Amino acid sequence: MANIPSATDATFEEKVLKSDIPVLVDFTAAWCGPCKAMAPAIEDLAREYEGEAAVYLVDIDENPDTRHAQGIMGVPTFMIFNRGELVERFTGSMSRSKLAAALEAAIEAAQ
Amino acid sequence: MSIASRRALLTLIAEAERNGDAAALPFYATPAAEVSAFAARYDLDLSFLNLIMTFATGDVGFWRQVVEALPPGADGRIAAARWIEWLWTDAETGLRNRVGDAVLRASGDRVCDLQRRAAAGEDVARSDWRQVRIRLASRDGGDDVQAAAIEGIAAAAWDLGSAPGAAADMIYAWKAMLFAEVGRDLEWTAEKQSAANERFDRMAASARANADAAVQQARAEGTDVAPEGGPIETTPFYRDAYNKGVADFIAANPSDLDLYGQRTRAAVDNMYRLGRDGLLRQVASLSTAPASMVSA
Repeated sequence: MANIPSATDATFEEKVLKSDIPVLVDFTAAWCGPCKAMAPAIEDLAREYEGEAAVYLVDIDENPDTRHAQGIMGVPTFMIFNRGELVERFTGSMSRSKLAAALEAAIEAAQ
Repeated sequence: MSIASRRALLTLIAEAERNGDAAALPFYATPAAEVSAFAARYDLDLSFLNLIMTFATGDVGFWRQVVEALPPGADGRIAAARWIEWLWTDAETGLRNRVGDAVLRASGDRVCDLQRRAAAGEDVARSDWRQVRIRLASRDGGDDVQAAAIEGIAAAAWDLGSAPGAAADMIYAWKAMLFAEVGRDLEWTAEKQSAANERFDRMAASARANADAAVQQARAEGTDVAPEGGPIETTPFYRDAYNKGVADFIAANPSDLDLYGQRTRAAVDNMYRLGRDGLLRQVASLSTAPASMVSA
């Protein structure tokens, strides 16, 4: 997913937990087929909510500290944070509309 | 799709048929950039391509059926929009029939209206899509079947130009709805599922033991059970022995706990058949573009 920026162990706090706008984090891995299948939907969401919410990828193999801190047991896992607080968490493949509904609720709550 | 693109894609399909290998055709795990490049190369609408990929699941024959049915110059985006409307409204399959709430039904109808207008070239505002999604998400989805049906039409409430995977997303919600219907009909509970899981573990262990014994015996008789190499579990010999073990276990231990798995598998098979037929009908309903556009 070339168009989605990444968060890392070094930047997760700054980019995600200290963000002023809601953040959708996609915990993924290079070997994860379902993650690849979800990629277009995540790109669509990033485009749709640009400016209202941020979207980041976290590769769990390259960022073990974040994986442990967030208790990631499988990929894909999606988390939505609002001002540093986790407001939604989904594990496994899911539709863009379900993620969108959760993100829209977070955007509304943030305003 | 131009005549030249159609011919090129049919050549690729013929090669895949000859080689018995669909790897040249995109499937669900193909990276998005490669899928987009494939769509551009063969002049296919991306949302339409997503639907074909999802239904083909590596079946080259389905690719051939769709491409051969596609009139020269026809716009696949219109077929995708019509397929969404078909899945929402069809008398037998339609998700709409599973929704009792009149407001939610109207919102689903609105999605089809927006899709129709967008496919006709109208610039539907982003806020119109978002409004209908919010309306669909803001009411109680009701029971599992209705909730999954709503999830299905909400999945399609996106502009296919900017979210080309949205039509294919409907298929996953459709599947969830069918599973919910089986669960409702069988009065399936968490306890029954837990018991079914335990039974499955015992069945798998029995089937593995059967397959391992068959491999040992074949090797003792000098048979090469893995002539192409690779893990033994992936060989046709092992798979056949494993499946026989499953069949033997079920025959020796009949149980209603297998019903949920049997019915959901049958429902998914039927879903793919209906979905493919539905898509082929929408493709056949497309009209040919003027000759000047077709040859472009």
